[in-house]
Amino acid sequence: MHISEGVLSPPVLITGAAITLVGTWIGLKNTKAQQVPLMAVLTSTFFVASLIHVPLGPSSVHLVLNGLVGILLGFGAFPSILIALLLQALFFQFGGIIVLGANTANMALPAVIVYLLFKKLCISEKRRNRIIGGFLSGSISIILSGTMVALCLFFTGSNFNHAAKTVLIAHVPIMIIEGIITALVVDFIFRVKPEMLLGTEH
Amino acid sequence: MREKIVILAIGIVFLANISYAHRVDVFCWVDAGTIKCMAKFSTGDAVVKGTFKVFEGNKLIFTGTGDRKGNFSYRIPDRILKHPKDLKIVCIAEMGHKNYWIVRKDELSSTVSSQEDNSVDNENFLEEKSPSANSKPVAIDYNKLKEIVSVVVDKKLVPIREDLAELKEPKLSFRDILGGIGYIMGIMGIIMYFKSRA
Repeated sequence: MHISEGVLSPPVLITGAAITLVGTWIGLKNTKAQQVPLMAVLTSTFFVASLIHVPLGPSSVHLVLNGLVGILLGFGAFPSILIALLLQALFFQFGGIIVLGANTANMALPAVIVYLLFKKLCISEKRRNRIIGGFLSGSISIILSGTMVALCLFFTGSNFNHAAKTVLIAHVPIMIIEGIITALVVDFIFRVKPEMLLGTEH
Repeated sequence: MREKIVILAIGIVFLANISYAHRVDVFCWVDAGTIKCMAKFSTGDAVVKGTFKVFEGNKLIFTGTGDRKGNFSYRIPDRILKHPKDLKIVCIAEMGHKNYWIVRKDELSSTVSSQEDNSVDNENFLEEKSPSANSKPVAIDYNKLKEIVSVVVDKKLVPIREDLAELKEPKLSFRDILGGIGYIMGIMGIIMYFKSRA
């Protein structure tokens, strides 16, 4: 999901940076002081998640967890993912500084979209709804991120069908794994510490 | 149930093979008038059928596709061999992954004459010319010998160059991970400080 430096065209980079700037501003503005420790924990989780490779047959996939970040933080996903990606670029050379805005937008915007779509389902009293909401958040955020990566490449000159096909095929296993993990975590948090989930509900 | 979930979560984290991805590593070397490249993801997987672009300065001079093992080779044109210049080999993998390697002109100039010599069976050449107990010592042209040695040394150096390239790659360490988490906590502390003042 991390697009490398020097791949995207300036208009795509500027658009990505603009989306990230606006999202981060809204995220920081809406975040209450009490939510910052949760944001810190989720930023750390996101920072480490992409280093965890789940062996899957001959290849392996790595976690992204942007759906979980979105459900728990809402617009706070923007500053959270921005900081995590900045540190990944500095420490591990994943992505890069110039492409940071586009990479953040690719992962944080789907996080906010699943938050807006499925948050209500995730805080439902019915366990089945919470599991469905969590699963959809985890998997759809990956589909959306993959589509955004393909769109970025398309607007830079790649063939959209080819880019989209490659990105989506590569992410089918992780969609299912993230869906299961997000569903389990959302259900677990709702039962042990519901205020973490309800905190971003306006 | 709660315990089961915690155990499952811990299991996923610990069973998972912690490594690093998202970066393409390219390594190129010159072998008798040909640039050979090897591209792999930082997880060690080969870049399958990646696109390779060869730039002379900012000018694109060749575009090709690698094989399934991440290998790519490019025959250096005589024009460049005669007047060596730095060549930049860019590897573009799927999903926006990209990296490059610069082949320095010094490397190209060392292969200039050995390219012509490529067809010569160097080992036989040495055997034929090497003095044995029953034959008289044969004088070997100094330049010819230099070229042969250069070709052989180039070949012998390939694994060492690969090792060096691997050493140059930034490695992921737990110190970096912990350092990153430390930075996150620090940045969040600053955000919290300003939030609590507002």
